[in-house]
Amino acid sequence: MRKLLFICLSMACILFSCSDNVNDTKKESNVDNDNLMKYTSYIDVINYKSGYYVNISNPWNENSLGEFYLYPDSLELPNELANKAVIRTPVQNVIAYSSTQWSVFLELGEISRVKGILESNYTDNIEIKRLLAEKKIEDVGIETSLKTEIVINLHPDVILYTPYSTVPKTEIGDLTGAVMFPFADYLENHPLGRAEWLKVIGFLTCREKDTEKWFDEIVNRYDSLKNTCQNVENRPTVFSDLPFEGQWYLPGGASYIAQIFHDAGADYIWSDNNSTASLPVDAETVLSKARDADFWRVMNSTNHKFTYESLAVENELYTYFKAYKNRNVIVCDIRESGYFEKSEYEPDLLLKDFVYAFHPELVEDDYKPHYFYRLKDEK
Amino acid sequence: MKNRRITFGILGIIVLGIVLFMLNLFVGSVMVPFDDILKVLLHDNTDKTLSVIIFNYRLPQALTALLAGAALAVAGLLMQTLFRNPLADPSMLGISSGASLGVGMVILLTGAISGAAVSSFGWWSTVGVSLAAFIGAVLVLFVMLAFSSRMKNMTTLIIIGLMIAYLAGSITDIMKFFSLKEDIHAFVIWGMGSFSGVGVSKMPIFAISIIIGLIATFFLSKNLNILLLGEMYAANLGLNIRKNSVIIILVSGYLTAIVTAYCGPIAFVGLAMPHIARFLFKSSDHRLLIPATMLIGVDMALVCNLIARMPGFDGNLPVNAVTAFIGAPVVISVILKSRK
Repeated sequence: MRKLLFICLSMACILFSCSDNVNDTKKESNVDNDNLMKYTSYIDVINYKSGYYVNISNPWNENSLGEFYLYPDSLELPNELANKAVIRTPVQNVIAYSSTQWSVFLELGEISRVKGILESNYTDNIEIKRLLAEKKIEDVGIETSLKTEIVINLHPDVILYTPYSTVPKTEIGDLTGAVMFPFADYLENHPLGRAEWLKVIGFLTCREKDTEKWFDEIVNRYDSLKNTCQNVENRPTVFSDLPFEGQWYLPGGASYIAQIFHDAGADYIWSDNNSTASLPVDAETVLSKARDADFWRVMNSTNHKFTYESLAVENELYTYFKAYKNRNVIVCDIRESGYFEKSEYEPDLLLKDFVYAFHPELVEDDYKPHYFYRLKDEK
Repeated sequence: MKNRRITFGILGIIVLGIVLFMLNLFVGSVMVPFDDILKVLLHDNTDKTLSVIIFNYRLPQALTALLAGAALAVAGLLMQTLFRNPLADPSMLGISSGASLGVGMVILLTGAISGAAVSSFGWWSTVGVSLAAFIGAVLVLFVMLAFSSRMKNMTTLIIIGLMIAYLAGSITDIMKFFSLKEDIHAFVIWGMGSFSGVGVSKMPIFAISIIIGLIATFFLSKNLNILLLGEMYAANLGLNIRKNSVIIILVSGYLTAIVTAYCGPIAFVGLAMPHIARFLFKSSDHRLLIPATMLIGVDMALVCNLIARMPGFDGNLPVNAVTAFIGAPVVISVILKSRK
């Protein structure tokens, strides 16, 4: 009976979390010309005296996830900020929950400011592995179970955490005195919005000029490629992902990947859906709607390379899709490509991979895809 | 009079099963006009997608539900008779927990090893999931068989089964604790059960394995009837209690292991269906109860599969949620009526 109760409860959790559609309309009051963030939905940064005011909005309700003042350590703190959440910059000791955070520190040459990271066994990054081995960076556990004492011992001034709707902020901030800074990058649904979060690390490390330049270059490359795709005559159709236990979890029509499909000159089959969350859809519905789609994008998180044969072994229904028959399956080997660590700040490369698949004539002939490639038949 | 009642009862359940089976083919998330389905069934199909949906998706799913329903129900009956406990079900032997542990190792540990969530599964992990569930289930089954061949006392055996279930469950919990959200999500979904995992390609092996087990149960009916008299009487009548219980556990465990490997741990069917059979036929004769329980299990699983895939739902509802949701009120009403 307990088991049943557990099952029912966990089912309820899943159902609710799936339908947990985030509120992604940016609060009008916060949007003004002073905002230094141009593409993000969940963070606004404006100049405040010699520092910055940062507001992170809550995707799940009207409240704010947090308001912060970033103020240079070299200057005296204005009186009115005495009781505010203040981060003195450049930050000295950072705990980074996610690889999308520490990878920017690494790129900027500021990795010495990162003292602790989570889930370090999931990274393949050689530099990080070296720093872990030399004990310059500590592994501080996993999200559900932080090694609290080690975190306290690292004397963090800022903890960059990943906010979830259901997981409350841990008490670690109170124990360490560190500022808990929600890094809501993963919630952004525009590829450039997600990439723009790298600027936040720039503000925290006083390297904002470098990150501004870095981001502007991304925008230029992304937009110019996007513009070449907007007038293509033939827009192929595309759908996404693989089912699990008979259920497909499709990206919503307003999601990150749907935006990239659109910008790459393709029509996502579920584009009329305006959800940002993933949609649970029965396999027969996917079959009836997407059977004639031209392309099929899948993510491979195993160590094994996908082949058309291995897909057919997994589920013979796949073989009925046109994209399968025409060998138009587009794969990303998550682990090998470093997708989770790097792709967020390379949306232009993601876009280019898809343009190369959808409209190869728009990309140079000898282009080598970085993340997504068209799966070829094995000889 | 009683014979007629039984004949009509069995016939009624069979007819209901056929109707439900057809409904399973006709109804799903994609609304299809009745005429078109008939055309597909008569091979006069114009739309090929429709025929794929019906023959390659709905049909294997309905067949899986049918076989799994029969197997779990009868496995539950065997357990209830062997342990002389109305609350016994196949999960009591720890077999479902063993399967969960095996699957947990694949889903949760491969996630940890490969460094990325297996939430978007490769073929290896899909095949691996069934295989791991089967290995986990069979290992626990062997442990239970080893104990049962040594022990006469059924209560001790139940306790050992429960302890093994707890043990496997706690190892699974520890693995869950250290796993990625995506992997835990995948594991939870597996734990909710699904009839869609078999498909056309794996159907022959699944069907043959289940049918072998189902046939085996018919040979047990005489010994099960003797067991009902109590172990002392049964022993006096020349029944080798230990050998007999080993065989019953083997058959019941085998059926549970196969179903769990392909469909996940499906609760409730094994516990509730024997009660409905006993109530409907007012009999404790296993020559009748075994086929009756199987058929009721079939009907029940088909109803659940139908509801789980009703049009209007965006996707499949988890089978476990539906089995209990539909089954619990039925069992309560059966018990209340039989008390009157």
